[in-house]
Amino acid sequence: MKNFLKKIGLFLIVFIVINMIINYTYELPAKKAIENKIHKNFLKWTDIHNNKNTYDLVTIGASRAYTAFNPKILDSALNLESYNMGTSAQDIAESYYTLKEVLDYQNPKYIVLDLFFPSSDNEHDYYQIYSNASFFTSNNYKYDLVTEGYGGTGVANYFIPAIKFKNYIKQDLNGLFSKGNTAKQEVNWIKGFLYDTVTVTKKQIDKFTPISDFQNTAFDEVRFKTYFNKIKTITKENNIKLICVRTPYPPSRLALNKVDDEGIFFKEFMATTEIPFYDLNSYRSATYKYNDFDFSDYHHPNFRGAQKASMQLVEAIKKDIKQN
Amino acid sequence: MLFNSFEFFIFLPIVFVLYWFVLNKKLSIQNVLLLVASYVFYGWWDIRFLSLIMLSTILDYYVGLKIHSTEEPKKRKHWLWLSMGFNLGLLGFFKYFNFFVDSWISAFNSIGIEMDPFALNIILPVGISFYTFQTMSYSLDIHKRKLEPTKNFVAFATFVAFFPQLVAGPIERASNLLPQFLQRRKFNNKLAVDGLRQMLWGLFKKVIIADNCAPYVNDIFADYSTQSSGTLILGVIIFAFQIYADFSGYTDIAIGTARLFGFDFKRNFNFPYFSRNISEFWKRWHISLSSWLNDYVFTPLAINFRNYKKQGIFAALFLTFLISGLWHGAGWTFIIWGGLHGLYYIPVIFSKKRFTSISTNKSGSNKQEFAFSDIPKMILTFLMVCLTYIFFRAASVADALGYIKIIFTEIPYWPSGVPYKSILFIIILMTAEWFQRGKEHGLQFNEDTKVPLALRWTIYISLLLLILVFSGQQQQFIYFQF
Repeated sequence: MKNFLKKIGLFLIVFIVINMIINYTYELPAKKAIENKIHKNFLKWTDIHNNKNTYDLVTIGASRAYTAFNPKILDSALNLESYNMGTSAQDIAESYYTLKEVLDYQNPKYIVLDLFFPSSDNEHDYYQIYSNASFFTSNNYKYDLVTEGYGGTGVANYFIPAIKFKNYIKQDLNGLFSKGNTAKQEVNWIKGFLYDTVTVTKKQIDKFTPISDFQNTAFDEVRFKTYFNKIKTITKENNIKLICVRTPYPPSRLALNKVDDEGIFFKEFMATTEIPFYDLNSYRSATYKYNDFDFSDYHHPNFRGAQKASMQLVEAIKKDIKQN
Repeated sequence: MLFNSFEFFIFLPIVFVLYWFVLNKKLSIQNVLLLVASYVFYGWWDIRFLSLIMLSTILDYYVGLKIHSTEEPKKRKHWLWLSMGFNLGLLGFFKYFNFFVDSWISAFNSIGIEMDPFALNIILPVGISFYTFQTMSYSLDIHKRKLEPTKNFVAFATFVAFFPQLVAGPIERASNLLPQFLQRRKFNNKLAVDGLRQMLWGLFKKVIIADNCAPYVNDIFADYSTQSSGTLILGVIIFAFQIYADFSGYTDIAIGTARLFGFDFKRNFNFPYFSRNISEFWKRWHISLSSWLNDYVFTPLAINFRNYKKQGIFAALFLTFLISGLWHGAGWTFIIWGGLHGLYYIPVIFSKKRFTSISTNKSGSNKQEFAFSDIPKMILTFLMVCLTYIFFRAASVADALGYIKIIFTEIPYWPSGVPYKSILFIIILMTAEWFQRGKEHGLQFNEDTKVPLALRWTIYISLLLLILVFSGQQQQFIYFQF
C-alpha cells in the first residue's frame, strides 16, 4: 500500500506542477493587461466600482451584447447614463451574479438582458467566466457562482487549469498546424461597449452555419428559466425595469435555419412573463434592416450593426416610457 | 453517478480510504461499506429505483436458500420460477411494457381493428437489464447445482449492487464474484496500479473518443435523408468506434475500479474489431452477456432442438440473437440488429470449413497471432457489424432502411464535415490496441514489457492531459439505456 500511495502522490505532484505551468502561461497575459490597465473586464469593473450610483441603464449579456449596444447612442437619445457590462462568453448564471455585483454599486432604472441559446447551454468558457468573476468584490457571489452556478464541474474548472484553459490550449495547438497570423486589431472601448470596425469577409459568409437551435445546441431550458427568474425577481425587488432583447444575426446566417427555434422559444417564453422582449432581427425591420456587412463575424455586430441595434433599443425604451 | 463525473472523483477516493484505512479490520464491515457506497452510487441517479434492486436482492437471496434446501425437483422448479417471474416481470414492466402495447395496437390496426394508442409514462431504471441478469444467473446456477447459495446476506446484496458494475456490467457470475465477497481482500499493489491504468485507458476511450464522436454521429442519424452516401458510410463507421469506446471504456473503468478494492472481474472486451469472422466477434464483444446467453439461453435451446441437427443449432442461435436484441432495447430496430447477427452465422454453421476462433489463456489474452491475410477478413467482419449498427442506432426501422437505401443507391462522394480530430484519436486507439492485443487492455504494462519508466509516466500524464483538454461534451454512457 505504501508503494501505491507513494506512486499516487508522485503522480499528483507532477500533475500539479504541470497545471501550475499551464496556469502561469495562460494567466500571464491577463496579469500584464491588468498591470497596464488595459484588461477589458478590469476596466469595466473599475468603472462600476468607482463611479457609484452613476449608471441608469446597464446592459448584461455575452460578447454579442457588448458589441451591439453603444452607450454613447443610448445616452444622447434617452438622456441618461448607460454602461455595457456584457462580458465574453457570459452565461445566464454569470449574468445573474454580475447583476448582483452591479447592484451593490449602482442604482439603475433599466437592465437590458441579451438572450441567446449558447448563454444557457451546458458548455461554458470557464476561463472567461472566472476572469469576469475575479473582479467581483463580493466573495459570496464568487463562491455562489462557482458552486451553485456550475456545480462540480465548476469547482473542477476552478482548481484545474488544464480544464479551465482547455479551449485556449486547443486553439494554440490548432495554431501550430494552421498557417497565417491574425492581424492585431486596435480596440476601442466606450463605456463597456466594443466599437468594432471589422467587417465580415465574403469568404467567412460563405462558411456560415445555422444559428443555435435545439439540434445544434444543448440549450438547458431549466437552467435558463431558473436564472432568468432570479434576474426577474432581483430587478423587481429593486424596482428596476428589465428589458430583454435578442441581438441580431447576419441575415444570410439566419436564413440557413429551417426553423428559428431560438427566436420562437424566447418569443413564446417571454410572452408568459411580464417582461418586454424585443427580437432585434425583426423589431421595426422596415427602418432597421440588417445586412451581413453590419457584422464583424458570424454573430457579432460591428459599429454599423451596433448603430442600428442601439437605435432599436432606444425606440423600444421610448415605447416603454410612453406606455408607462 | 457517472464514472466521468466530478462527483465520482470525490466519491471514489473517500470510499477507497474508508475501505482500506478506516474499516479494514473486519470483512463484514468492509462489505457493509461497499453496499452503502453502491446504494449511494445508484441512488445518486434516482433514489426511488433502489427499492427495485433491494427487492430483487431479497427475493433472490431467499429463493437461492429455498432451492438449495429441498431435493424435490418440483419445489426447486417452483422457487426458480418465482425468481425468473419476478426478475423478468421487472424487466417486462419497466423496459418492454410500452413496446409490447404499441406493437399489439399496431398489429390490430394493421388488420383493420382500430385501437386507441395507450402508453404509460414509465422511466427505465438504469442498469435494470444488468442486475436482473446477474441475480437470475444466481438462482439458475443454484437450481442446476453449480453453485451453493450464500447465507451471508450482506455479501450477496453487495454482489448484486457492487457499484463498479451495477449499471452497465460486466454481468458477473456469482461463481466468480460472490466468493470474493466472502474472503478477506488483501491490497495488491500490482492489481491496483494496473486498475488505475485501466481506468485511465477507459476514460480516454469514453471522454476522448466516444464523447467526441457523439455529436457527428447524432447529427448524421438525426438528419440522414439530407446526407450523401459517403457521409452516411462514415457516420456508421464513426458510430462503430463510438459505441465500442463508450461501452468498453465503461467496462475498463469498472474493472479498474474493482481492482482498487481487491476484486477481479472477468474480461468483457477483447479487441473485438480485430475479429476475423462473426463467431470470433461475439467471443470478443460484450463477453459477459454473450457467455450468459450462451449458458442460459442458447445451450438449453440447442439441447431442445438437438434432433434437428444443424437447423436446430441455427434456430437456437437465431432465437438467442433475437433475445439479445430485445435485451438491448425495446424496439424492432434492436430485434432486427440481433436477427442480422443470427443470420451472419449461417455460413459458420452450415459450411464445412471451420472458422478460426480465438483461443484465450487464463487472463483472457490472445495466444494466436494474426497473419497479414487476416486483414481483409477483419475489414469484412467490421463492415458486416457496421451494417447491423445502422439498425442499432437508427430511431426506427424505416429510418434504418432509408439510411441503407441511400448508402447502396447513391455514389459515395467524399463525406462532408469529416471529424478529423476524432479520426486521429480513433487511429491512436486502434494502434495502441493492435500493439497491446496480447494484453488485457491498451495501457497494460506487465513486467515483461520493456517500456522505460519515464516513457510510461509520459504516456500517463499525456493521456490525462488529453482527457482534460480534449474531452467532448459529457454524454451518458450508451449502455445505461439498456
